[in-house]
Amino acid sequence: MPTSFTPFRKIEPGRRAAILFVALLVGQFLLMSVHARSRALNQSIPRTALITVLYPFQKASAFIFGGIGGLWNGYFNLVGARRENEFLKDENARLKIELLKKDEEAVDGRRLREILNLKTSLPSATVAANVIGGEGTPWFRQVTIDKGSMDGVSLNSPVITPQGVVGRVISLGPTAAIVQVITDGNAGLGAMLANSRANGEIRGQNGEFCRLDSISGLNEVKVGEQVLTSGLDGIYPKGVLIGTVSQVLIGSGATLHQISVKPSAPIDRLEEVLVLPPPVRVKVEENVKPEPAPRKTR
Amino acid sequence: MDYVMRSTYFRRRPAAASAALASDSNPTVRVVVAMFFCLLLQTLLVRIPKVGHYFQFVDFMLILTVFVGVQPHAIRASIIGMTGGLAQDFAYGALYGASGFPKTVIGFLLATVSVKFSLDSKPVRFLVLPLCSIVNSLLYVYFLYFFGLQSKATSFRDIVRVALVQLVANVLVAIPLFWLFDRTLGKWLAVRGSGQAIEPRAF
Repeated sequence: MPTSFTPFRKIEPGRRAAILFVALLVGQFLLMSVHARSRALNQSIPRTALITVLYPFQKASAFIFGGIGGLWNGYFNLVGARRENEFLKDENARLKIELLKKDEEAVDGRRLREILNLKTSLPSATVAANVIGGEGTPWFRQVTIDKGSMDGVSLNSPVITPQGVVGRVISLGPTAAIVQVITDGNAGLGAMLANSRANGEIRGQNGEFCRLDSISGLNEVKVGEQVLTSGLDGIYPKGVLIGTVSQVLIGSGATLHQISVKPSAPIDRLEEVLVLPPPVRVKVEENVKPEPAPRKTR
Repeated sequence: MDYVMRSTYFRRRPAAASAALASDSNPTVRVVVAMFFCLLLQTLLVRIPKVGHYFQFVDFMLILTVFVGVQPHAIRASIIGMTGGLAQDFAYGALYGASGFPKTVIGFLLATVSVKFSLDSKPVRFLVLPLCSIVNSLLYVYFLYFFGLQSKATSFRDIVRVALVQLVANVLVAIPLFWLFDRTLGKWLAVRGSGQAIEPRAF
């Protein structure tokens, strides 16, 4: 069939294959370059499409695995005690989240109304979601949840459990979203020690533990001390539990502490999570536009 | 050049409805279904309680690429490796092309070598797969480093450890997966006239 590729077809097959092979490699290298430069591609159309296509299968498998796990735990353990424990845990979790939500709404409301004097806007509701997919690779720590933009989830929304912080939404489909877990090697969030209130930065290690950086050697740190979000990263609300200090290599006046933190959230066996509203970001310049000068009338 | 797919299993059991469906369907459709199946396994098996986290070390797309690569069709193996790898990249969202590039290379090289040497036998596949697994892991990590996306917390020792664990995991999972692919995907055979040269069949 005569096509525009006819000259290409005339090339000897071996050479043609080599040209195609090199073209595929160059194309992918260029794709990597573009992606590395523009991290906004995380929300690209192919990725959104893939998340959406995989969603029903992941949802079904989560249902099956959850059912099997539930059967095992429900019937082979002490059924009554477990149910009561679950009820109390749920109640406790609900109250904790309720309190967190109220605090956050109050802080946001005060800040918006009193300091910036802006129009009041209620933050969107917290969304409860199930974890339906895992990361599938040892190089990253990500999970897929069964709620997406149609359910009110937004990019950069913090994800938590009643036990502590899980991560943030980094990619979004209409019915599902991908969450970067705080143990991911590229994850980071503002943190502070509960007792000394020293601010630092939590860094993921692609492992079970995180690292708490930038804590001066002059601050007192104890193993078992709680680490909370500082709110300085502009993503996570302040005061949410991240984890506890599991190991400290004491620094000095000239060197920083080397602190290892064990996340409180059950990162390796997440089932249900809560997606908080994304941080409220206000462009001040949009709200302090100068009044137009009154027209002079004759 | 037209291609047909050979599946000895379905010839033995022609009555099975699924067999008829599989044997009648287009080879390209079957491979696309296989890729989707691998992608599903990649994201679903890690959710199995207690043992699921071991599956994060398995690269299902690599196993499919090796299965196709040991058959002497270089461009097809490259395209399947690239497509599968890119699908993984879109799923992970780390660096688009970082999984696709190594699998393109592996598919092409395997298929090119298999023109001269017969790699398409069960024992040879299991000799080839560990090598491909190491190349795949190292190239992937190299690109992450090259573009500054690899975590600073990951040391060289971690990389070697993960690559070795991936090697073992891939070989173990390939045992049932090759068996499954043999029965569902079969092999592509180049249907050519008797006057055609043998060598270009690789491309």
